[in-house]
Amino acid sequence: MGSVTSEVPALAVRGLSRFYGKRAAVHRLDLQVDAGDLYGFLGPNGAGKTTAIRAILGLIAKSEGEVKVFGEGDSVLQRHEVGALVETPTFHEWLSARNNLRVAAAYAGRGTEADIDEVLERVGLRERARERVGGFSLGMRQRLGIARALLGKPKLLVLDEPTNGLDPRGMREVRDLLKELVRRDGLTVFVSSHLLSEVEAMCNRVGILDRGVLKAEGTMAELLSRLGGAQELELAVGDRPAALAVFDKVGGVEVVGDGDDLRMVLRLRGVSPAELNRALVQGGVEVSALVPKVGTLEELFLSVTSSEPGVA
Amino acid sequence: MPKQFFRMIAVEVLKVFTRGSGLGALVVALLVGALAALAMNGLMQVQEGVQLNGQGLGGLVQFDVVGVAAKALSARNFFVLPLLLFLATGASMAGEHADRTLRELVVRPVPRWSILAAKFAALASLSAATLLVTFVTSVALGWPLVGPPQIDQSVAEGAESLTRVSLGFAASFVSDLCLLALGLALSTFVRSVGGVVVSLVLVLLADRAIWMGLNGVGLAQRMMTGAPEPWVDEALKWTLVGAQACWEGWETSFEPGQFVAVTAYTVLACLVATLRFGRSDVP
Repeated sequence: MGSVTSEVPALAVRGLSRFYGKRAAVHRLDLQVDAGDLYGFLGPNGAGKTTAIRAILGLIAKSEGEVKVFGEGDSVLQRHEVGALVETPTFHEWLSARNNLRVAAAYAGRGTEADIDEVLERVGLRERARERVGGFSLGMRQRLGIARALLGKPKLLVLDEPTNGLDPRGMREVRDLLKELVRRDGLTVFVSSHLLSEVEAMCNRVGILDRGVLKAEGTMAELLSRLGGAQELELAVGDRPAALAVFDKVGGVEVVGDGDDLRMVLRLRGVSPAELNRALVQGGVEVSALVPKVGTLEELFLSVTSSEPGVA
Repeated sequence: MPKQFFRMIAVEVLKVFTRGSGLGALVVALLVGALAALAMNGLMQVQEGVQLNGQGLGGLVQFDVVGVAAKALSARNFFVLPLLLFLATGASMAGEHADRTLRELVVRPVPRWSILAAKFAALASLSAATLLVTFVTSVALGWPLVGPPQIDQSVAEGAESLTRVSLGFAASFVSDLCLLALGLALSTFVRSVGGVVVSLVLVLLADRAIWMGLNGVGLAQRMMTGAPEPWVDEALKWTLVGAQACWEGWETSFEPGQFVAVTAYTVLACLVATLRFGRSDVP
């Protein structure tokens, strides 16, 4: 997806655990984010995503395990390459947006006034730079948080629920910005979310965490193949009996739901929607709609995560 | 030391001086200097008619700019400004912990001790600024309103030159550093500004109890043997209240033991803060 290629993973987490007493908020977490990935870290609320991210960033101590950023194991040195946004970003309310970024730039050891202008421009806050952050909306704070994470030109962005509190337009803007950062600037992005649609819309790799344990990890295609290669679609035809006859002939087609006489939900195994469409047309069945059913990541998510309350 | 350390100090100074507690400390410092001059001017106007224990007011109070600066120093170190400095310290550390802005610093490529050091340096600059403001204000207003230094005049005990009282201000800075270090150390245990202030009050009350106990022992020894054992005086210097009073020596002579004690407390508090912050989770 991205333009950066490197044999050294941008982020390698091995056996990471964090215990609170005897309770494991994160348990033996292994994951790898390659350079150029836009990695989605999925999990229900309380799954341990934020705890894992805090441990990765060194905000909290690891009970066990190691974290390497571009091969660097030293917790201070590795942060040179990392920009972070953890949960709802916090600011010094009485300072202006620019001064808040000056604080961040000073601690980062990188970032000039021109860099501050650039990141403010990027998130659309250049005109508001002199205003006190105390008067900013949640969406503006989120964007300013992303601007702060971008200061110092990090190679890896670690973002914890970056679209929290944003309206649909704001969410889309953040998604587009992240995709652009990966595509145009070659950044690697590790982004946590509990929103499946968000991850599905922007990430090329996904890890699913549940109750502190990584339940599934891989590219979107790899994960979907875990459902047994099945794909669901909605079909509307002009002649139902004729369509059923074609299904028998083609094979691998199961009717799993009916809308009305002429509409049905199918599950396909070993046959693609295009092949089915061709067979129906060749069999003289008029196809008025053939819509692949979305939400297959949701099915995977529901199949690997627990319905019980989370632990962290 | 990270190469960006001085930039870190600069932005911490920006935060400390623009926060409510920092601005409040500067305003109070200004008021203390100004009010000392105005009050001394008022006393000077009425001194002819006032007698205390049969002695004229001029024999008890030094009516010159040195006297104004000395009164401003005493007022400055009495409760309000130390409390404001302590609030500024609590806001800088415990406050940032509570409002979660501290984590934005911790995720940067700097060791945690350097974050503490930058905050300590910025708070020290606030202390120095308040001292300077009080000193300059008291002298600038005291000179024309009350009069120039009258070194040779036989007035109240402890009449000293302006240079000497300025050393009292410098010694107050040393005393403030101890307070700031203590505030940082407490901030690593208590995660709210209010909690830090309450815990300081408890620490000072406990210290005051020890100080009073030692004084009681000294008094008993004086009554029984005519003089307290030397260890009592020595121990009194090592209470917090005794060590922090090192600035009071400007009138007679500075006591090196108090400076040793206040420095030891400062170093100890810094060490505790560093160790504690280095290992604590940041939300």
